[in-house]
Amino acid sequence: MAQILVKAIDATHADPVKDRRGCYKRGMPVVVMPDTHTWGLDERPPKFVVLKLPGVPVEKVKKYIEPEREDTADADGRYQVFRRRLWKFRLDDMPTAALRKLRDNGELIIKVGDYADKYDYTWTQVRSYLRNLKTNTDEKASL
Amino acid sequence: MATEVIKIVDPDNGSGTNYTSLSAWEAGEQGDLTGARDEIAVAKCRCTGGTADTTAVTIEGWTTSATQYIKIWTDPSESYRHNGTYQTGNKYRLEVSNSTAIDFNEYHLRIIGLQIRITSVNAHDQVCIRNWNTGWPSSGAIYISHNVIRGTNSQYVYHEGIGLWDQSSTGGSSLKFFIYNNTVYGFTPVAGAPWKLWASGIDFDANSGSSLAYMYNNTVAYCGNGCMDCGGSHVKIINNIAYQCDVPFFTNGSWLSGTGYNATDGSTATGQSSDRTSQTFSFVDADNRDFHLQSTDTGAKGYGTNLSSDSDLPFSDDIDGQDRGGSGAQWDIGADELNSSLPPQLLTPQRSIQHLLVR
Repeated sequence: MAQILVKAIDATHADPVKDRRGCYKRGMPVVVMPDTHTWGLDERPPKFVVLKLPGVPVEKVKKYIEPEREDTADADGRYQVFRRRLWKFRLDDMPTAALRKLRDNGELIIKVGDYADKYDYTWTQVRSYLRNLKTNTDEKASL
Repeated sequence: MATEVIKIVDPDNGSGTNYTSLSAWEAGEQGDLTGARDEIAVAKCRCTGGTADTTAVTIEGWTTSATQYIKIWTDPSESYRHNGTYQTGNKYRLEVSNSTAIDFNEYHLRIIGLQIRITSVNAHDQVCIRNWNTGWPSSGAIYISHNVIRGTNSQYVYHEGIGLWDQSSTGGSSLKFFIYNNTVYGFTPVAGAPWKLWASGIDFDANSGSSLAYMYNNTVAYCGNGCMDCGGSHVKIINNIAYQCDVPFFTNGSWLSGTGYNATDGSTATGQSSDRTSQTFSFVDADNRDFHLQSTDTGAKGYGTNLSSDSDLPFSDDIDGQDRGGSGAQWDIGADELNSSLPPQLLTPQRSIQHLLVR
């Protein structure tokens, strides 16, 4: 039963390596919480937006908060972090109505599976705006 | 002068909560503290409804300085800090599984009064507080104090409480790690595993760099290795207890000058004449991981050295925030100072005299 907290503004660092490896960029998922979770005062626009996926187990979407790792291991066999997140929602490419709703309400409700209550978009619609930054392809997986 | 900007982190989203996880706080507050913000970024952690924070935290992408730093803590004036043991209920705790809990790559950082736990391990390198990175800077100050840090049995390499490793050997001599008043336990290799699984309580490895660590008054228990200086000649280690550790204290070179007053039930310590080996400790309840000293203790009580005027890391309290007795007191070894607020008639004769002299 998942909600994804998504960074809505860029953080930047003068050092390009730290900027890539450390800074959250607009659209990067930050944390995943269950449906019942309530968010704090700062976990909303302008810093964040929330994508709600009613009925989807948290474990199914945790992969979206993984970092992107180096392709090759270092001398000690470790795959170091290359980028803060592997996945990023292409928020600015979303339909204007979706952006307006995120700006005004701070959230979108995404229908997955047989969810029958009100929703804004389906997962099939939204996943096409979820970019894998390593492969530079959009998500095709179902939830 | 930098302004403290305090944000409340509470997984239960109690009144006034800014963020419901430390990870979200880091994402929301990340930035340049040295410019227009001129800020000390403070995460004040609470737990108003008993829920643990279960999201792993990475701290990177900030710009900090000696006076504009990151501080993550539980405020002891509130009720959300532990009592020196690992507590559930309304005590803030960061609990993760199959992951490192806090992975930092910023060097003006303070982590104070947290409970941090890894509940299960499924790969190498899963550490409660870790910095294993390239490009350590020439200067900085990292304070890790008053924490209760808890691990589990591991068949994997480098399951550690505090694990700091300068991969590229770039850390300068003005980069200092101050690790004190922590209780660290349970980083245990599975039965029969070699000690070089490096399941360790506190492991500092400056590699060939020049950074320095000060490990003072920690209690490390039930770990493969207690306190380690893997680079060698980079750690001053004073007043620590290593209890039920396969290797209580380990260095690949020599400990820094001034090292001493460490105690263990094992047969070796740091090689100083002030050390105490093969000791029997009287903890309040070691079986249930309460490592406060009992008044009957003969292994650590009153055998430490007073660090209130230490040239590198002066401090005067214990893991519970209790005063260790002032400049003239003979300190206890380990994270806990036997409660010196007791009236003199309830103290041992030695402590009673200290009490009268100091107060």
